Amino acid sequence: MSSSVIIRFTDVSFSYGAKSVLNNISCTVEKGEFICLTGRSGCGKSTLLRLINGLITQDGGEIEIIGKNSIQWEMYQLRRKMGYVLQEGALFPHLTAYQNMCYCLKLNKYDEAYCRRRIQELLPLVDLDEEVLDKFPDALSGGQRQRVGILRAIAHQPEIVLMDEPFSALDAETRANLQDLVKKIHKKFLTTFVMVTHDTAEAQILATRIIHMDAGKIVSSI
Amino acid sequence: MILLDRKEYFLQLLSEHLLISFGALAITTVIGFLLGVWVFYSAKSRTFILPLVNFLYTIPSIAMFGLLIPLVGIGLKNALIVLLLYGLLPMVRSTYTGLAEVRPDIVEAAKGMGANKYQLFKDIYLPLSLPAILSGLRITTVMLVALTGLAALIGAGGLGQAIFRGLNTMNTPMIVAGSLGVSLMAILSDQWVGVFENRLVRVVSNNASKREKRIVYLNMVVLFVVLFAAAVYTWPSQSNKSNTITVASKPTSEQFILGEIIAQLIENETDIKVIRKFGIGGGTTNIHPAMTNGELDLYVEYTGTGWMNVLNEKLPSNNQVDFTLMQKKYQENYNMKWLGLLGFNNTYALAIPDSLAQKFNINTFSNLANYSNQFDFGAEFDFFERSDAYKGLVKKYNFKFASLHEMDINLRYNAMVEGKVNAIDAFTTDAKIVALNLKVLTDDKNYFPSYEAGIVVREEVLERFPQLENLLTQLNQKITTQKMMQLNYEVEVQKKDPQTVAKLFLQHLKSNLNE
Repeated sequence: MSSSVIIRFTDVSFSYGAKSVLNNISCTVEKGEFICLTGRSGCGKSTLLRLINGLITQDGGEIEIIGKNSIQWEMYQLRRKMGYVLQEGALFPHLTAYQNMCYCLKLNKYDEAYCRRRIQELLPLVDLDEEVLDKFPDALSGGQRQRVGILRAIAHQPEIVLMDEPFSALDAETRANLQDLVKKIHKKFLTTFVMVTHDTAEAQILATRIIHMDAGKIVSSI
Repeated sequence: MILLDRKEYFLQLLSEHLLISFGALAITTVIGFLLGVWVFYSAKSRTFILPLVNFLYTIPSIAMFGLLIPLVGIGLKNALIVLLLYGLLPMVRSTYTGLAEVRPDIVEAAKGMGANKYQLFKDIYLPLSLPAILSGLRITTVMLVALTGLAALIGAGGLGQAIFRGLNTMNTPMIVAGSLGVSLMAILSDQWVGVFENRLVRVVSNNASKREKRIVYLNMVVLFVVLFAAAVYTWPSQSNKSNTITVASKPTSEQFILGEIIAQLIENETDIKVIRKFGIGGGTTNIHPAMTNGELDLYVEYTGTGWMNVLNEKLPSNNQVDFTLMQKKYQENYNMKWLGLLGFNNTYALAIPDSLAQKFNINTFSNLANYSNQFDFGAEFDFFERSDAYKGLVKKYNFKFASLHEMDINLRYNAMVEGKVNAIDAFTTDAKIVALNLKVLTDDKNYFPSYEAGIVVREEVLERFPQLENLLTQLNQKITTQKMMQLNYEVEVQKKDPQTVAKLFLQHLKSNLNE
């Protein structure tokens, strides 16, 4: 087994009740790859993503993540080694932008001084001004919210960043800007990214490898 | 102004009201919140907790106070339990709804980033459901403050006591003062909880401004200071049990006056401290059980009620209670003693407007029976229910009233004035008989038993305070039916205070005894 494999699926199946969603999926992801999962809605790509961070559990097969079989992980410990970006960022509405950014850092028990420093350091990278820090999410634009969401997902230097259709609700210009931003971050930190998108053009821009799925199976992996 | 004249009385009621409603609110909030959380996490509990709290909420509150009496007696404990059971519904519901409506993508984000169950609850679910929980708390608060108004029915005190006293003694300013007090407290409490909306979420989420924090903490402090002051004000009257005696009364003017006479006599002549539990709703039905379990020490009972309703005995053919036999049975069955009779008979009678009495020449029940199809008859609920009242009466005299009206005991005379009814049941000592120019008809077939008043006291209390028996028997045979009607008239028609009326009566009594 190559030591650079960070995610390995072996014959993984998953079904919601009687409806089979994934059929005997096998694949590997190497450290530093930027994987885009594409396919029509209902093809199982989001399910695959949720199996990686254990929000759901497979019915059959084995999943190995960051050197351990998934059943050996205390799930919340594993998730703290990942970043997670959802549509529109899914920011916590009761927390300020700054508190949102610190969320994963705090879960990983970093102290306030470190958080402060780390956020200051990353702000220019995601192209945000300090003045957004004390604002609540409802006072931010869609693009700003997603930048906060991305910063939140990378601040604690995760091993894997999972993204589920992060830019689908944004206008074309903002989407393009954020795609550049994510690309820049991937280049800079060489973190492993797994991103679900239905937009093949977006996948072309970002991915180092595109895994295309259909009806619960991997059709191609280029 | 009644509020100023009786400042101490109202402050006492206000303090009790605050303590009862906020005490109940604190318990309800904690239990309701915990149940709401349980219901949220456990689908199974949802299937029985939610229907249960719904069911409890639908039981009429007055019934609930009554239903609990056999279990926990009267007083504070009963009131707190009833208030808790009612407050649960809005609290449980709002907590559950608040938690269930937290956006799933937010929960998924927190979970996906590694929040454990506790962190998920504390940092995400709790702050995000707080607005819903607080709005539930607002409803609960207003509801409990208002409902505490009924606590006086079971002798737990509070502003409701003023309302019921007012109702029972036809004292409108008293009713208004009590009601306004309850409303005002409900509005203020609602505003108080409102202060926390928005602000508490920020304090919990650790992003409140200094000003917001200050407002939240200040409001907590204000509440605690108010409650503490209320507790200090209320406590002396509740403490030092060994030297106190609890005097009860039923919810009628007559009983308020007699209760005051007894209480003042004890206070004037001994150093025993008197706790007044006056106007207990349901009368004997609720007072006797509370006497049995020692919550109440003495009250004025009527021979007919004692014989038939307490002892469950049948009347002999002459319809007269054998007082000596009853005394014996009370001692044997309940360790309570009748201290003799006060001298008046407050029995049932039927009354019609004097004008009609003259027109048809009606003087007796039998006369009335001949014209009964021209009369609309009104009486209180228990008059129709009790076997010894309406049902037997109709059988004996063959009344065929044009219509029957059930109403609260205090509203019979109003109904008469308004012309809704023109025949009612009356008590022979009712003040309104004189005031409204009514004719009391003679019970020519001796249907109604006598209801002679006497003080009933627990024997244990007599052992504790041996001086009590001699003191209270001074009242025996000192209040004639005419005298009682006059005292009632002073309170109900002349709007004098029962306390004042009692005081004057005792002054007269004392000067007569000294002569």
